[in-house]
Amino acid sequence: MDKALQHIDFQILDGIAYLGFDMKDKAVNIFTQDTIDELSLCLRKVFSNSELHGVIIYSKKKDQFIAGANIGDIASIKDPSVGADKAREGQDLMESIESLKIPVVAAINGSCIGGGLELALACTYRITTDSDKVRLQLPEVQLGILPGFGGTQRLPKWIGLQNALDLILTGRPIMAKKAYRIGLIDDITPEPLLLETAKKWISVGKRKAFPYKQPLLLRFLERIKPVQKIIYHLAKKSIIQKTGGNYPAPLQALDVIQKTFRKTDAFSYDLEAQKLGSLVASPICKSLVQMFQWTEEIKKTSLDLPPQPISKTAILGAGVMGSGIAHLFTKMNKDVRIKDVSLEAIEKGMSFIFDTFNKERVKKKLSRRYVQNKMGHVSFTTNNKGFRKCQFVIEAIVEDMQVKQKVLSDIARFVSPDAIIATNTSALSITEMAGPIPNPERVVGLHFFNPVSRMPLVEIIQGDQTSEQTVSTVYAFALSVGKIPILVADRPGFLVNRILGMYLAEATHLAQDGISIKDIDYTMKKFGMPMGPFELMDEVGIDIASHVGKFLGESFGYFPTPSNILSPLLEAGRLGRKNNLGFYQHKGNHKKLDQSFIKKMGLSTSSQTPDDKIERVIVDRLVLLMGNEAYRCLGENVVRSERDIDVGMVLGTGFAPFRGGLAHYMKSRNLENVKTTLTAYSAKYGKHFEPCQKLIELSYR
Amino acid sequence: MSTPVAIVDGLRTPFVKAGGEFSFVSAQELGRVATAELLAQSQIDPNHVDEVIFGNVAQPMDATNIGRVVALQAGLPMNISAHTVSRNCASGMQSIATGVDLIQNGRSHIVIAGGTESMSNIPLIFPKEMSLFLEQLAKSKTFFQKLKTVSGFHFSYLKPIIALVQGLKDPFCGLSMGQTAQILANEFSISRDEQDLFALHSHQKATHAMESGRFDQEVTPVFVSKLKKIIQRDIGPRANQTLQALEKLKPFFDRKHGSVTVGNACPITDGASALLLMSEEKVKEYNLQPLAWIRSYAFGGLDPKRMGLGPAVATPLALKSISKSLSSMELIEINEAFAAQVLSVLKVFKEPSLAKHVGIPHAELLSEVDPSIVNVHGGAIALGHPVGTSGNRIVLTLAKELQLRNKKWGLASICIGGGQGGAMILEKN
Repeated sequence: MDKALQHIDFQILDGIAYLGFDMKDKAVNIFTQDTIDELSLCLRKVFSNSELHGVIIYSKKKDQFIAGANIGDIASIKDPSVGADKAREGQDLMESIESLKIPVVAAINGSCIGGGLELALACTYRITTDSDKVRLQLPEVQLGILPGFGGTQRLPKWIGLQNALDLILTGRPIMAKKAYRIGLIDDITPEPLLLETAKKWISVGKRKAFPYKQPLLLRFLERIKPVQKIIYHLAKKSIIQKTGGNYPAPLQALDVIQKTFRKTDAFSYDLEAQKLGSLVASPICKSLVQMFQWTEEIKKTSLDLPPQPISKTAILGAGVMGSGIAHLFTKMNKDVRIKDVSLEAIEKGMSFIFDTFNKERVKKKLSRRYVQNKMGHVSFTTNNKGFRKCQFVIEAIVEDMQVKQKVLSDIARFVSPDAIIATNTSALSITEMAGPIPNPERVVGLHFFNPVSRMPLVEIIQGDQTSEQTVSTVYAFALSVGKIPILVADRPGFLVNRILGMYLAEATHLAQDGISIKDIDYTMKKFGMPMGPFELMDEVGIDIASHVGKFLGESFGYFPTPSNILSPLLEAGRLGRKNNLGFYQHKGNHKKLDQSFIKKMGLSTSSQTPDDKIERVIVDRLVLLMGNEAYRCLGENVVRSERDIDVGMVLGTGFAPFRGGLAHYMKSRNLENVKTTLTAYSAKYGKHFEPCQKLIELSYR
Repeated sequence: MSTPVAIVDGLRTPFVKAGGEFSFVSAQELGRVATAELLAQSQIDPNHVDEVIFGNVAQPMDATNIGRVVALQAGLPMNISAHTVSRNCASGMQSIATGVDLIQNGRSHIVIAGGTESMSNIPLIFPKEMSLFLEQLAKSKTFFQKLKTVSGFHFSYLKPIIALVQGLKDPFCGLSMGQTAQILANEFSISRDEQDLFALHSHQKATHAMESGRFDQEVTPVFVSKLKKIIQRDIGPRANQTLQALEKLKPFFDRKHGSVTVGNACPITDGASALLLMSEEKVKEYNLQPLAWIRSYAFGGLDPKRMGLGPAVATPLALKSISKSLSSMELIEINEAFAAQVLSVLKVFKEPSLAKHVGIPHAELLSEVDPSIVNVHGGAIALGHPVGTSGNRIVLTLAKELQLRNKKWGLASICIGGGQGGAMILEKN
């Protein structure tokens, strides 16, 4: 092994050069300046050795090929020209692989992501193992950039326009089988035979022609200009639909491909590099990268005490939340035992779990056996039998302190004395709930968000008695079921619902002040929320929204008095999505504002597109108010950092990720200015706008 | 017999008439539910189970060695061995017997012994001619060869063979199970009225057991994903069954002179059952209160034509080995394949001369039994007879009932297609 090489094991054997990626002191292989330098050094050696007849690039890390660029590097680039230069450097490296006169095989044994895949694309052949750890992905657009090491050029070449657009514009991963089907890889081999098989491919020699796996007709069609135009048009439409046009990266990637498809030359590489440069230096990229780094940081965190193992879980309540949690747990290989008062309720819950799995099965082409195996780990009962082995219980029943206390103290007698007892309450006090439960140090709040399968956040709430051991165990457990936990203090509404409660309350005041519901929802979606506040109330349920609003109003004196908008809905029995009537009329996945009812309530139904000024007022009254509340939470130590505010709001409510989260947004607006606006608003719209102490403090810095 | 083996607990799924709510539930899934729930409710660490044994007759093609499939799907660790036993209608009792042997000879300490059967999923099969035809077609290479093969096709090749009907026919004497019951009815002069009355009582007792919640103590509900429904009760016992309705049915197996009808025979049915067996040592270690102890079991053979008399053959064998007599049994389960068959058995119990006539050894241990202690919650005529399961089910029901009534001695006995009988004797401490 060469002394100068620290991250690549370079060996020559029987005329073949083996480049084994094995980054020193890192769990995964990534592209840093060091690895790039070493790789080019290796390639120079290969180039100057005329006796070689092939190169094999592989990884010595288990289940990991190369995971792409160093996120820290992406975060640090502030100048577009530096970004473009970085891209050019990478492009040159890939180019030098591609231009070798001897065949190069990428032997992929696991995740092959971003720059890793771009490297593989520059090789003559790509082969993978048959492991389900194999994942090929160009996730750049998810970080606000595009594949800049020639990925936009080589991928369409290998797999055709439509397949390439699908992978680059969504950034989604594919497994080995699919990759083989679309021609991205040339072979799938059992893991122990990977290098042997790579050698066989070297003996095939250089490629004579591109191995399009697509049907001839499609291949032909994609060469016709008008057909290409339609493809681009549809791709653009789908991006706009999914992102509301708030994310430039996929649009830029599309633009590069559109301008360069089938005519790769110096200009196309330069375009790719330039676009990457301007994207990587943009604040949106920084926001997305920051969010990614934070979630990665949380995923890698383990609290001080070693967690207790949890493999058997119990869920009390088979409603929407209970069965959502049950689905998650069984999917993540936990045993689940559901308890509810009636088999009818359980029947609905079991059907929900089965339906959720079934939808996944159809979408991801999973086997029926998979679903059956997963369902097989869910048992249910209406009595207290069979809980003795459960190490973890969570209740997801009606939000009523007395009922929850009773149910939890009942089950506490039937689980082991050190089993974690968790509540999925969205607002009630953990400390109070733990009161009557034996060994209250194991009682903890674990607040999942609806729909459980899609919302990545959980709030972990430590009551007064909750032990550090319990928090540590629950933290590790939340990570083990694939969720991102944040630690939150036991204050009403915790973090997310408290902020959302403020948001929804103010939205109703906005409507009362004469701004139309349509405009409010439109503006907030344009801002980047996944849905407008009134859509959200329909989704949550008008009754629940009203209940939570009242609860928070009672808990915090400064909260805006609940407007009387919700009462006419409740009186009319319009509960929102659950009975298809709220502010909107719901039909399946479609909804339409019920203007006639809104008119009857005496609210505005104007339907012009709102002008900038109105939009500004809507955003400021809603978002700055939320931000103020977030900083108040920080001041009260409800959360420990701005990180947790941002992660909580983005992962718990879908708050515009490209804005980097709520605190990030507030700072981008300059806290000093925000303070001024809030102060002005407090005179005009009510005391709840008064800037909180923490915000004032931070605005002086 | 040597040391007794404990029945710590047991559970079964509801029994559902074939072609009903369990049509799309496989035998392995039924077995899984019973086993998983039994494990969930017990204190036993699944790692300590030594063996899983399941009785099964139809042996689903997609679950060869169904015992192993059940064990894995029920979440038992992969290193625990599992196998499947078959003794036709007593397969579910054979699994217990095998478990008892394993525990008694010290190879195992904790055994899950069950039975499962989905008679809904017993397939239709193509005749042999069809498979020969397909084989020939595959061998034909040229177009003319193929044409020649195809021209030899006959539509009769497509006529399916109903595997279920084949299974219910004795391959040795050629009679269907119903016909063997009819033979007993004729030979032991069991009248049509007696049979219908017996069937009526079976329905009445089973309905009462369902309505009073007695069966809830041994039945665990099953979620049927296909229907998105939870089945929690047996579907078979009819609360509104009348004697008049039973009397109206035509004899089925001998249309002219017969007395056995579908009303006084058991329906084909789906269901599973599982018991947790344990050595005395482990019972003490875990500090458990078993439902009952298995003191003895026996299987015996007789003329396949008289298979229904099997319990009368096996019972004295089981009694003999622990030097007991039938008169000391306080509760008795006799699987109700046919009313005629159970009534014949009871008649033989009562009249030793008859026992001698059919050549039953140790007939002196037999005596008349009080009908009120026989099948106290009805039997297969009402509940149905999932063939691989029933032998397990009657032991489960008996064990629970000994516990509930605080009785000491109980007998579970079953007739076996092919001319055998099985009997198991339980004692509650």
